[in-house]
Amino acid sequence: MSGLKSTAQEWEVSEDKQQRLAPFAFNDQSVTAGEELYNTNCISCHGNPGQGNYQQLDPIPGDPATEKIQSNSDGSIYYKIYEGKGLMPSFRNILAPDEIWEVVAYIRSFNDSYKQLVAEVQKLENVRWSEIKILLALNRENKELTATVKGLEEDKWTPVPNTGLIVAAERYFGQLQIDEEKLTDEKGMASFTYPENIKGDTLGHVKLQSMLTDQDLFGRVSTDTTFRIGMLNDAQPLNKERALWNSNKKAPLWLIISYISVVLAVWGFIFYVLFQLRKIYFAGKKETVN
Amino acid sequence: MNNTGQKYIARKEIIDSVSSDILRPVRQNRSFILWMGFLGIALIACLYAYTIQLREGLIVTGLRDFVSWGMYIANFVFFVATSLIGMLISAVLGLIGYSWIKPIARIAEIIAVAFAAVAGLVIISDMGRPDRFPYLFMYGRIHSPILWDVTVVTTYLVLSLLLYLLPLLPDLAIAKSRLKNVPGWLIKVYEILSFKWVHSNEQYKILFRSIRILLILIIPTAFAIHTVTSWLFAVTHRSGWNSTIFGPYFLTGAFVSGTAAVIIAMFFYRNNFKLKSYITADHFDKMAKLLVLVSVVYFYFNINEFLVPGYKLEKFDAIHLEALFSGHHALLFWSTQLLGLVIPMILLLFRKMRKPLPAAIISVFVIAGAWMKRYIIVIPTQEHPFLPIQHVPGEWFVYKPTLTETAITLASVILVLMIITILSKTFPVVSIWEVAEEKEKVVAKESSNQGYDNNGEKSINN
Repeated sequence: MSGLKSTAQEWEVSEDKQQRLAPFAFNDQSVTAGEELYNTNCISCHGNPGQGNYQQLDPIPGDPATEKIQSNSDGSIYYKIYEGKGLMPSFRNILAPDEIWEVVAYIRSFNDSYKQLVAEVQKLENVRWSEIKILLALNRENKELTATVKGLEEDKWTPVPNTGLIVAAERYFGQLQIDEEKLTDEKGMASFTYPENIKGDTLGHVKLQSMLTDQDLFGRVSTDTTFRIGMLNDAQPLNKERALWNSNKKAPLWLIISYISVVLAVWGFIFYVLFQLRKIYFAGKKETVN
Repeated sequence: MNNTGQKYIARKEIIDSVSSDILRPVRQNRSFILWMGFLGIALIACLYAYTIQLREGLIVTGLRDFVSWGMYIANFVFFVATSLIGMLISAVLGLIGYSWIKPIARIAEIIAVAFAAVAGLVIISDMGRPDRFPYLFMYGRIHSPILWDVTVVTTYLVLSLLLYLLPLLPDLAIAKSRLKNVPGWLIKVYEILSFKWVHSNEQYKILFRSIRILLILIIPTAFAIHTVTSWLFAVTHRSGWNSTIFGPYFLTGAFVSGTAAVIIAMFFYRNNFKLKSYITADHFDKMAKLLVLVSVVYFYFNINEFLVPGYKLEKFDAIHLEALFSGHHALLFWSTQLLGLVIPMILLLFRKMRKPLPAAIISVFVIAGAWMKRYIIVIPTQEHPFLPIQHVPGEWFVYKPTLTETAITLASVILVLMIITILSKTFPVVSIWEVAEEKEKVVAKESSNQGYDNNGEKSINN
């Protein structure tokens, strides 16, 4: 298997990320699923694998069927799709881990000499909790948010220790991470300091998402909580005054006046001419009677 | 249209000879029925394509998320553009006082009416849900150039129709009494549309005043229609569209395609309707000179439109211009600019090229180029958005019109031809009374010493 060799590229991937393996064995089903994902997300730059019809960008995206990409380990390909770099976008928020692995499966289907190694050891660890939940509590005095992660272990909720956790505030476009990634202690707890000057909505509400970082192990575990910790947003709403972007009723006056007056003037003349036609008709009628 | 203020009423002999020449082609003969039958069958085939689009939606076209305006909108812009010629000939040249335009003014109006009428339909073909068309009027936003465009296209169509109908009134009265081999219902149509025209002084007075109002009114309306059409593009911030000269650029381009359309129509009527003594070689010479003039102005705007951003080559403009000058659209771009504008403009400088046949052939190139130019204006810009195109299938990158789409576009062209055919076989294509009046002017001048009575208004009533 050539995949585990370290590659001689500028894009460095750390050793442990390189060694990472897919949690399931690639089969026809995963290849088909991967093909569909590839056609929606990757084809626009990388082209059809094996045909070399990728976009001429700088750096060259490359054909996934070629040695350049196939010489990467499974973990490296996964990492590069997950993280992205430069023009290559990050797919961490677009594709789930399993989906990224399916794309890897599709890319590998163009390599006849490829033999997959499946990460069986990792899967065994995952059986301790059947369900995991995160609880976020507010400690206003210390400006702290405390998350408690608990898992259901044979009908009992027990703490989930030593696992990575992040808290992020929802913004207009994407999320703003609060503090750093923290590991839970033996009680399954981790604390995050939030900034005083974070902006909230008109009531000061901030919507927070707490999320476990190790998605391979736990899947996507996250909880949304809203706290009143932000500054009041007292900016005037953009649709309050007359403006070009507002509704018809709040259109700029100059626009309404010019539109209506021009239309009225032109159509006034049109109706005047139509009235003249009527006059022509009656003049002719009078003439024929005479 | 009388612009000198002095009125000449033609005598019976002149009316007789002119009307018999001009009314000769006004009949539903075999070639008319064959031609309409051919157009009808072609239209049905193309309308079948539209039923597919109605059923399946716009997915049957080449339109996707990035290029959402394709051949339909390009065709719409072309139609609006071509229809402007009615204004240029009748209003601008007419009001200046050029009387040579009188025999061809109605041809220009026919083209204006036909293209403006179908332009509205073309917009509907671009809608995935045409049943929501009334929403444009119910919920249209006054801020949007689309609403202004709907308003002004409608207004221009009504004005063009009136400018076609009003000068036709005296001719309808003449046709009503002189045409023998036409069905009775058609005489009835003439009767109704002639608004009881009896060639009385009072009627002429009202007619001249009304036409004058329309002629003045149609100039700003025509300027507005194509300026607003250009704003559909220019008010958006995109390379290739983000331009302050788009209004005049579109307007002058419109005069180029319209003048070419009129020359082609003149050539057809001159030969098929045997109107050689009315639509003369001199008319072709003058129209071809007009075509040179408008082409030069349009060429000037082209230089501005491409040289200024081409000199600066800002990041995104550079991507767009590269595609036009040397990339994906280069062949289309250069052949359009050269074959459809520059070479015709140079050729028409020579007197020999302004004769009817060469002028008509050159005009075909110009009008084909004009259509392609609209394609170049509308489509490439959308292929180069500011944000990178990603997470989409590869075939969305580049717009390629489908067969269905082409057939539906063809349907609109067929409709235009049908309207032109019906109008020109049902009503005289050259204004009888105005041409007769011109002839009378000449005769009157020659014989003024011989004591002719110039007041021959009764002679026109037979």
